[in-house]
Amino acid sequence: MIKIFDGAMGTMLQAAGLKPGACPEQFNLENPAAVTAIHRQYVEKGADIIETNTFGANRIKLSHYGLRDKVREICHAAVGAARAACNSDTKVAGSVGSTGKLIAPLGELSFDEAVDVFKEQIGAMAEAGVDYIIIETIIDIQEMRAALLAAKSVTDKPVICQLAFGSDGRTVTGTDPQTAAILLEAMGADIIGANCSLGPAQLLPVVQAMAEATDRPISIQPNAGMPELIQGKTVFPMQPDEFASWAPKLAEAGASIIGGCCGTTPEHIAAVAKALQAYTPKERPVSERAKTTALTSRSRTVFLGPAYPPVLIGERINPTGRKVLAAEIKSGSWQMVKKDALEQVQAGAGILDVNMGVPGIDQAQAMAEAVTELSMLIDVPLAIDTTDPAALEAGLKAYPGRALVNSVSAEPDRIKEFLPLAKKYGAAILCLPIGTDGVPQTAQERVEVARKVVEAALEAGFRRKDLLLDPLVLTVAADAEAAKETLNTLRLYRKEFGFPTVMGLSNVSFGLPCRPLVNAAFCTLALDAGLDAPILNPFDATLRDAMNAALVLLGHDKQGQSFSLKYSGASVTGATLGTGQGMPGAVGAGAGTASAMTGSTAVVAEEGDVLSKIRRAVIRGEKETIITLVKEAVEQAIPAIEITEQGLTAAMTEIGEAYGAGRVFLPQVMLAAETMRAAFQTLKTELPTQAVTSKGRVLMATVKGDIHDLGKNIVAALLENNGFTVIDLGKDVPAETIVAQAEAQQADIVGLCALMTTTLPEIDKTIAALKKAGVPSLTMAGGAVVNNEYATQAGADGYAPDAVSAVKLAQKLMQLKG
Amino acid sequence: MPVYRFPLTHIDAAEARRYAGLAKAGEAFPEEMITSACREGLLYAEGRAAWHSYSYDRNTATILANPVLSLEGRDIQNHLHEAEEVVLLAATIGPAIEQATEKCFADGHYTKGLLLDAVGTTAVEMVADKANRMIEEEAARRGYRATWRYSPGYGDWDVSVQKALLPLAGPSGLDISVTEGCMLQPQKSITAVIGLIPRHGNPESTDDTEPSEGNLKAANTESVSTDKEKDAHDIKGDKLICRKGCAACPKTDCIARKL
Repeated sequence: MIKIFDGAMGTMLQAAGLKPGACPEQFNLENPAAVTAIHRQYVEKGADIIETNTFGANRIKLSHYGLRDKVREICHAAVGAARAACNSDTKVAGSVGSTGKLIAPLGELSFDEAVDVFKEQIGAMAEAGVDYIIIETIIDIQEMRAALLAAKSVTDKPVICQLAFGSDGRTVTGTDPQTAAILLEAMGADIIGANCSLGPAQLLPVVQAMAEATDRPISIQPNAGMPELIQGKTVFPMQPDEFASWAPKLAEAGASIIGGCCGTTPEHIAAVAKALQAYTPKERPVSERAKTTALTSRSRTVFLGPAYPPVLIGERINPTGRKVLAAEIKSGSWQMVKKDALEQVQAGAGILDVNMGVPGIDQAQAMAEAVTELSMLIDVPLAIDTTDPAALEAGLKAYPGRALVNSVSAEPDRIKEFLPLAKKYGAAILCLPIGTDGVPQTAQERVEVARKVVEAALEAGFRRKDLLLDPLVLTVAADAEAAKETLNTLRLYRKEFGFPTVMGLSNVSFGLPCRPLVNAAFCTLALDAGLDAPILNPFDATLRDAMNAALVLLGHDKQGQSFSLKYSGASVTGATLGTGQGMPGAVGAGAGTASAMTGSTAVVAEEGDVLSKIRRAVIRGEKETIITLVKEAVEQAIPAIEITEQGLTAAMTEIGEAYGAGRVFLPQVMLAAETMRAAFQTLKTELPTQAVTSKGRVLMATVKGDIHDLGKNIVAALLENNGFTVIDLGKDVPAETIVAQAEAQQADIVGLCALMTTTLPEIDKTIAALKKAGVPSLTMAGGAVVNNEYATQAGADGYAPDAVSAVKLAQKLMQLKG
Repeated sequence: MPVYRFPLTHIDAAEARRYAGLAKAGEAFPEEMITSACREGLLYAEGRAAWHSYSYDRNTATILANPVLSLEGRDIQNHLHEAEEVVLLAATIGPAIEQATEKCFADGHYTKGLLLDAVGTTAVEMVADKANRMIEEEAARRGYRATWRYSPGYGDWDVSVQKALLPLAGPSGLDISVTEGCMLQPQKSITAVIGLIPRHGNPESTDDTEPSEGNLKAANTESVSTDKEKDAHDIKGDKLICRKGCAACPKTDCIARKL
């Protein structure tokens, strides 16, 4: 049977006399009879569950009204007012809304303080005798986690968790309904749903997504459409009949509790009750997805199990054996951790393992900080890899998702300390078959030890889909049977438990040469034996290639479609394919080497003489190729001046013309300039005695007051790589400094740049100062707001609308100077 | 005025490509260089924003803050001509990306420097988008719809307003300052005003909630020239007004483009 929730409270309170700006929750104290009367209307119209008037009855919200100390009093009065309106079978849900503050790092409220604030409110309502707790209209999953944790710590009453989703189907902080449902179910939410922000039509897909992701009952309380402001009052346009027409559709989609939020009235609820009278609810089948093990970040879900392709767990965020990383973590810097995270995800990791095991540091603090930083940076789920319970709790608390605990062994202390923490925060656990007797050797022994962890976890309230298994990987060089036992363990795990399996691979090859090859072979065997998530180094190309091939062979990559996309054209003659060629995930693949003009990767067997090749390499921005070509030209005894003029400068002229014609774009010109730079540097090294003559000395500056110097930097780079000597004074440079430096540096040309109208007059001022001081340099001006007319009136000798033009102008000015 | 930090788990490579001036370059410029710059940009960007709403007197074009702020400029006044409230927004990604850009140029990695600069612009706009969404959602709950965000320097709204605007938008904890030349520091920061207009019936009926390119600098209107492009706009007086919004607009280099 579908349960009917009540509708809006705020608008009803206003109709009952609540003054604008007054505290709605204070009405419970001042006019409890009016509150009861509102509740009673809903009960009489068919509501099975009514919500207390306590949406903002937390001390943070109440402090706005000077009522910070009245939480308990208000909550008790509110529950009393609701209870007084009930029929014998009416239930009362204690309403808990947001504190109005986002939790750190998104906002400034600490997670612990949020939990404490919610505990106070929820504890008071539980004490006063509500039947449910309803946490509602929450826009951030971390605040929902805090409230749910608080509820679970102070009451055994069922908890309803309702988020507010936007029109894009996500909360404003990015959580989708599937991810929310999986995470909240894992944390113990009894009923999951959504309310507010949207009307029933927009919330229908939210219900569908949740129903697919969880076996929990689903509650839904839409607004009566999108509000309008009519004569200063917020009005919701959807009438009761139209609103109620959605109720059977919402029920069909999986909702079993339906009510209303903003703009709904007792009439809306009466219409919903009527619309559902004839509706016979069907038993909602539990979807396969809802039975599957899943991990989540704030905004993404990853499923694990035989029905899903194996997921790669990146192992790099681990200071063991990585001195530089350990030192960074110890110093409190997270740059390397973040870089490792981004690159592993780019390389194909679907989960990241996080280990902060640096001796001598506060691992709990480090774990909290690392997890916080990573949760802001990447959207794949995390595995918290630690043996320290304090670090585990710190990581789980900070993480706005459902993490994997890596790992829980059969050792009594570990079971006692880790299981409650994982349960509390809704994490999945990796069961490790190591007991007090150490590492079991045979597959059967490992199954029996793992069974102890599994049984302890199930007894502690974990669901089967919370559990993953590690088969243990020992070194094959020390024990010839080690790999086979691991593979046998994987097979037995699948037969005995059917849980997803996870293991680190690299131990197997310890002590052997060519370890990546051994690891790769082992990985493919393990995948066939039932491994769902290998923990490995995603940058190991051999492993990755082997895994990609295994995905085809095991039927996860249907007809090898992904494989074909990745490997079409790859070489098969080398020792490994792992060069990154053709692989989108390859770190650094093609960076800085691809052609600016054609996108091709290298100049191979180019036609023509070496100077032509040099010219083409510059145009294509092929930095690596140019070095070889310049050396080749030097070997052919071509003079530096000839290489410069007929090869390099000719290329820059050509690309400049292409830029002017709109055939190439500025970054491509800059690639060519970089290539020129590499060529000049090679020439300098190869022919130190044949110095290339400077085409002129150009002093560049962004004028005083102007802090944007990207444009000036681009001009300087192009001038420098077209043979000019550039003296770059930087940005925000006063006129007097420019004058002094132009004299001291004997500049042929002074280039001035201004971006903003506010700094434009500094160009006039500087040119005037140069003239007054009798500096013989010619001047050129440019920048976003400069035009030819302005440059002329300022007395500049030339105006350059862009960097390529600046090079031409400088050449022209040098001709003028004679 | 709390400071909000926003997760940035990716930076839109297509937008970065556009800001780098490569919108029309297609495959002639390696995508990997852009995605690599986006990935590196994530290491440097720390997206933060703050905002504050004020009543707005549209008759006198005055933001009723303390101190009050009178809006000078026909374009900003037009933009807010239906607004009852305004939200002043400040957003930044911090200084690290511009430092990295400068280092790139100093080291001769010009292209990467150029791309990182474009990535920074993309990132700060994405942060502002996230803040914008929170503002819109909150406004919608109260029966308002939001105009697109309008920044100093658009149209005839002079950047000199930054000095008055920033303190009303962002608290000191946001670590944005205004230079004597009215530039924001860090450079990858923005301020903007968003008008809140009461919703009355069909929200699609008013064009002014979408970017009005004619309000922007002349350079932007000059390039709206093809028939296809004109189809996406109405001409009202001397202004081009977007009818269909950014998604339908072919003018991909519009500085107010949201997509």
